[in-house]
Amino acid sequence: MAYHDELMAHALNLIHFSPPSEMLLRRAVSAAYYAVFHLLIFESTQHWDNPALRTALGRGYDHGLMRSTSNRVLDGREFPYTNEDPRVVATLRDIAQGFSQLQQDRHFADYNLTQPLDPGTALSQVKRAEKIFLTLPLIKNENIVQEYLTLLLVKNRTA
Amino acid sequence: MSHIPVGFIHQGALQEAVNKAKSALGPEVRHVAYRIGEDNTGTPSIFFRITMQDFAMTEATVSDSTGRVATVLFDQIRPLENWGLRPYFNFRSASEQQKRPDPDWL
Repeated sequence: MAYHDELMAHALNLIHFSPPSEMLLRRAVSAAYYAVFHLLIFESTQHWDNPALRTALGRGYDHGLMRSTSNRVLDGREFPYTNEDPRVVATLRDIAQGFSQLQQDRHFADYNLTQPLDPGTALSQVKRAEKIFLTLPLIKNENIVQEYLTLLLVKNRTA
Repeated sequence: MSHIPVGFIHQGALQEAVNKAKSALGPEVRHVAYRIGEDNTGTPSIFFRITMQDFAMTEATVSDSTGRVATVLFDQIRPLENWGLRPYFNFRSASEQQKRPDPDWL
């Protein structure tokens, strides 16, 4: 089982643990974010010819850049995706928004103790990650998705 | 990508856009609140806090129902294109809101 799959299974185990505790809910959200983080890197590095070096290449990915890329593809002015299959575009944007959201959710889960984390809120966040695991395989070979996965590693330079 | 400073957002027009989007949501939505602020990277953002009916927050339903709501709000409001705001969507159940009322969700 790949590391990202193990992490996602771990997140689902934690969210279903009975009786639930806030610590477990927070750990579940955090694990769910890292599952998606590693899933995206795994898929993004698949075109690197030498499989033995893919994990080393994966060390080049940055949380902040992955998030800004994810937000860029949500913006129809920069990525209008004209003449693309609207279902693929919608799924890609759902994944990109989900990643950005999960990063924010992880930040709350790991650091912000000023407010409690409700079980329902945590469940919705973990299930958002699970949905990315279910939908990305369906569209990952589309050109616009491959472009997104590549841009996760590339800084946005205007000059 | 340029962002609109939060202070320059026309709050009335945004509220109008949110109200219009809310009318397109289904009966699984109890209430939609939102706040403008910065996310943890300091980027201007809109945080939707959506209270859902309990039946829409079960293991079997939560993924589809919350995804549907986020898509409607995103498509109708277009937070990035129209407002320069990163969108975030958080959900809780009506019973959780009843058990622990939180003014941020009202």
